[in-house]
Amino acid sequence: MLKNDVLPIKAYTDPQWFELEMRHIFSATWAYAGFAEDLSDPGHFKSVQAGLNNIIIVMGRDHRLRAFHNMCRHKGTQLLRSEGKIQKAITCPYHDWTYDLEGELISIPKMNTEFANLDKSCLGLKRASVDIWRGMLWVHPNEDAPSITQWFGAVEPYLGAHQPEKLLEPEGSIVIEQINANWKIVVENYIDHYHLAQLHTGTLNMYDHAKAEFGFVGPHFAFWEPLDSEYAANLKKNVTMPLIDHIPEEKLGASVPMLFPGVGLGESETSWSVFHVIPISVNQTRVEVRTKVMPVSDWEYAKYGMRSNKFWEKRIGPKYTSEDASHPLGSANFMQEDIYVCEQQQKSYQSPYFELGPSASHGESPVRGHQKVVWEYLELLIENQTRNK
Amino acid sequence: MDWFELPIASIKKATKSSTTVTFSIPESLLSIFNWSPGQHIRLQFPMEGEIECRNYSISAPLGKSLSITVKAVKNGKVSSYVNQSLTVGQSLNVSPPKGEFVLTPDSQSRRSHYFFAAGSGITPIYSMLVSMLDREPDSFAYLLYGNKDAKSTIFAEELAILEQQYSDRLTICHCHSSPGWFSTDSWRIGRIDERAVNDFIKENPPYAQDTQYFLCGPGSFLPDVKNALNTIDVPDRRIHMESFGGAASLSEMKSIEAELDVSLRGQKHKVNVNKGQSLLQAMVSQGVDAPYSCEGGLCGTCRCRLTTGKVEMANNLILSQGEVNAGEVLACQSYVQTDKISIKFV
Repeated sequence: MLKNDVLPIKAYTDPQWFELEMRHIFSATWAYAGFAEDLSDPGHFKSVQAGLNNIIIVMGRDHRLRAFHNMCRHKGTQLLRSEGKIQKAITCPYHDWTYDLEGELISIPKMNTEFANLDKSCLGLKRASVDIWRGMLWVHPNEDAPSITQWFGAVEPYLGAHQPEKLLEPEGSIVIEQINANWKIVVENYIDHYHLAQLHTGTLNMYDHAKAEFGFVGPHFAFWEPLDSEYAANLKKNVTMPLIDHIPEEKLGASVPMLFPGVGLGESETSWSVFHVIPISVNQTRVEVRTKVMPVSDWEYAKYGMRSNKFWEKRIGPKYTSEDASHPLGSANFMQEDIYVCEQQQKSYQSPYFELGPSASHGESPVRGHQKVVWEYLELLIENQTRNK
Repeated sequence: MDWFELPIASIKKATKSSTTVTFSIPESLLSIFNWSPGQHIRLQFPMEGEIECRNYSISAPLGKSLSITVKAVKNGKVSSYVNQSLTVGQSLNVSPPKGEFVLTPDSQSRRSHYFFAAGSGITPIYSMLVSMLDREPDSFAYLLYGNKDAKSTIFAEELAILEQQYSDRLTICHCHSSPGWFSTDSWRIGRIDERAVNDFIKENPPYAQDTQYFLCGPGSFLPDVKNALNTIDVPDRRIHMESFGGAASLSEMKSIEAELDVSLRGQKHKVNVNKGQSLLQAMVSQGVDAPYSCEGGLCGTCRCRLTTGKVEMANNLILSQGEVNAGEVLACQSYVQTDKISIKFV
C-alpha cells in the first residue's frame, strides 16, 4: 500500500482515512493543550478538544492539575465550557450531578427516591492525564498514559535551548487560520526543506537553508538551521527584536521541529512559537499559532524595529512583485505563502487526473518520513479494512 | 524476629548532637539487607546488662552503605548511647529493613515529590530524596524542612550541595523555629504549620503533575501537615507518612491495668496489660507474636478488632471514623480504659 515510500492520495481525500487518524492517532497520543500559564490559579479550568476527546484541565487548591473527560457520567453532557474559574466542585448543567476536584461524584438531586441503592463511588468522572513539558500543557486521554518525557525524551536534545517559562506572550499575538487542506498537507509543508529556498525566497532568507540539519527521532521531526551569514555578520544592528538572552551564540538560528502529531515549534533567535495543527475534516485544518518573546518594553521593541529597518527593507519581499499585497504570493508573508500552496495542493488531489510527481531525495525526505510515521499507526487497520471489503 | 550481627564501619557526627552510624554488610547478607528508601531497621543495644530495642530509619540513599542517623534527645537513653558510646568495629544485632513508608524510584516516571520533614524526620526523607534525584531523572523534588535553627539541621551541608547539583529540579525551604538574631538563612521563621505548607506549595507549584507527598516528623507534625494538605484537596492516596521520635501525646495517655484476651491466627492468648502500656507493648513483652511494623499509628499492620472493653487511641492516621465505629483499633496506639479487654486479629 505504501508505494514508492509515499502515502496514496486517498490518505488526503478519503473521510474513512480521516476517521482512522482521528481515532488512532489524535485520540491516542499526548495532545498540546496550551501554555502552562493558561492555568495559574486554583479553580482555573480550560477544556480542550484532543482528537475525539474533550478534556477538562482544572487546577486544585494544591496547585496540581487534574484532567477529566468532559462528560457527565449520567447522560454524557459536557460539564465545563472553554475557560473559566470554579470553586470546589464541577456541576453538570443538565441534572445538577456534582463532582469534586478528584472527579468523585458527590451529589445527585433526589438520589434516594430516584436512584435507590446507587453506588456513587462507581460514577466518578473518567480521568485523563495532564502534564507540563517545556512550558506547555499536554493532555492524554488515558489515565495511565506513559509519561510525557517517555514520549518526547528522545527528541528533546535536538530542540532549541529556549526556556519558554522566561518568555512572554504579547497580547493579541495569537494567529488563527482556517486552511482548506488535509492536516498532513499542512504538516508536510511545514517540514519540507525543498521549498524553503524557493517559495520563501523573499520571506525566510534570514536563515541559511543550505546548512539545515534535520531528521526524525522516533515519530518526531527535528530541524535546525543557522542564521544567514550576512544577517549574522552585524546581528546586533540587524536583529528585528531583542535576542533571546539564554541561547548560546553557537545555537543562534532556527529550530523548527514538528512534534507528532501536528505540533510544530518555531524556536528562533528572537521568538518561540507553537504552530498547532488541528484537523477539522479530511480537507479542512485549523492552525493556531501562539508566540512568546523576550519580556522588554514596547519602546525597546520600537527601537529594534527602527534600527534594523534599513537592512530588511531590501531583503524582505513578496514571491512575485507583480502581485498585489492582498494575494498570498504578493503578501511577503511566509505563512500566507504556505497556506496558498497547501490549498492548491488539496484542490488538485481531488482531481481524477491528478498524478503524484517524483519526490526530492533529500529536500522532501521529511515528507516521506512523516508519511511513514502515519502509515505505521494505521497500517494494520487499513489492511483489515481492505480485507473486509 | 530475625537478628543479624552487623559490624559498625564508621561513626560520623552529622551535627553537634546527632551521629551517622554506617554498617558494613557481609556479602551473604546483602540480599536480606536490600532496602527501599524510607524503610527502617530495628536494632538491639546492649546497655547496662539490659537489651534495648529501637527502630531507626535508614538515612543512606540507594547505592550507599546502610546507615542510620540518630539525634540525641533529652533523657533519651538509647539516643545518647548511640551518640556517645558506640565504637567502630563493634557489632550490633540488626533486623532486616521493614516498613511501608517507601519511595521506590522509577526511571520511567515523571513525578513531583513533595517532602515535609521536621527534625530527625529528615533521615528517611534524605534517603528518598537522594535516591530519587539519582534514579528518577525526569522527576522534581520540593523539600520543606523544619528545625530549631541552622546549626541543629541534620544534613544541612549535604542538602546545600544537592540544591546546587540539581538546581533545575530540586527546591529546598528551611523553617527555623528559633533561628537566633540576624539569621537570614531560613525561608521563614516558625514551625511548619498550615500556612507554611500552603505558602510553600503556592510558591513552588508542581511542574510534573503526578504529585506525591511524603511526611516525616515527631508529635503533631504529621496530623498538622496532613490536615493542611487535606484542606487544599490533596487526596489521601497521594500522602505517605512516617511518625518519628514517638508521638508526644503517648506519654500523656492515661490507661489502667487490665486482662487482655487475644485471638490470633486461631490461637488464644491471655496477657496482663500494665498501666501505661499499649496493647502491642503488652503482647510483645509477653511473647505474643502479634503483627506490627511502624508503631506510629500509620501503617495499619497491627490493626485488630476490639470485641470486649474500651480503649483510647493515641495516634490514628489510618483507620477511618467508620472503621473505628465498627470496633477496629490499632494495637500499637491502644490504651485500655476497662479492666477486661478482648481483641481479635483477622
